[in-house]
Amino acid sequence: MSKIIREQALLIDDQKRTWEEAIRICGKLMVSLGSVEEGYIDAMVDVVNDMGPYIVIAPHIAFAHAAAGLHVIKNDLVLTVFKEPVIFNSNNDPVHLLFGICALAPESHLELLKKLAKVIEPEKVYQELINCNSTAEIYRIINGV
Amino acid sequence: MSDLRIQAICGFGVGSSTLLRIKIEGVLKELGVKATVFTGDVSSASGTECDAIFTSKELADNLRSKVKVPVVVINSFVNTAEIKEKTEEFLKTR
Repeated sequence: MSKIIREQALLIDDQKRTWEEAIRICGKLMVSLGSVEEGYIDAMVDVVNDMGPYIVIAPHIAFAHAAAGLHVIKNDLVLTVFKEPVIFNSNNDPVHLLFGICALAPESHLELLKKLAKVIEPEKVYQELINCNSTAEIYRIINGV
Repeated sequence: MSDLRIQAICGFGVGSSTLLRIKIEGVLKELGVKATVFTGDVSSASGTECDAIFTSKELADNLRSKVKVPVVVINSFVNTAEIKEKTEEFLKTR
């Protein structure tokens, strides 16, 4: 079975960050993996500046992304676990799990998101993830291995 | 009640609205309601025919002034219980 997320796409950050710094950390990871160009990072920040913190889609969980196609090299999903709370000024603050998504076309990630939604729905999973001290542990929880 | 059309809205239809669409489809299937659920973005939402829009709180405020259909606010896109409850509430109004 294909994995939801690969270990290179995982990061743990233990510093106090603003929402913009947090998105840029996720974005840099996506650039380093060759999934997006630098411009995608600014685009993800602009989304929140333009449309508000709607990317915080559940308590403590945000999905940073920008438009499909533009500055995108390949479909990818990354996750940064922030040990310190990140404030987005959302009802679902504070954020600790920041996923970064990029897609060549809308809905590219349908099957992947179906699997991910099942994994992250139980609240205890979020607790387990923020207690992780290695990306290997996060990898095991998300991929169920 | 057939041919219900529900639009899940996010900024671009890349991540969050796809996730929401998956969850709404799951709930409707469980409730035995036939419907088409599709994703859309804020800019195109008002021009797309549908019976209801499901979205986040932030985008709902923006959308309500532009559309005539009910706008249902979902706080957690991964919480099946919340999505089920709000879908049932919306279905009662039909």
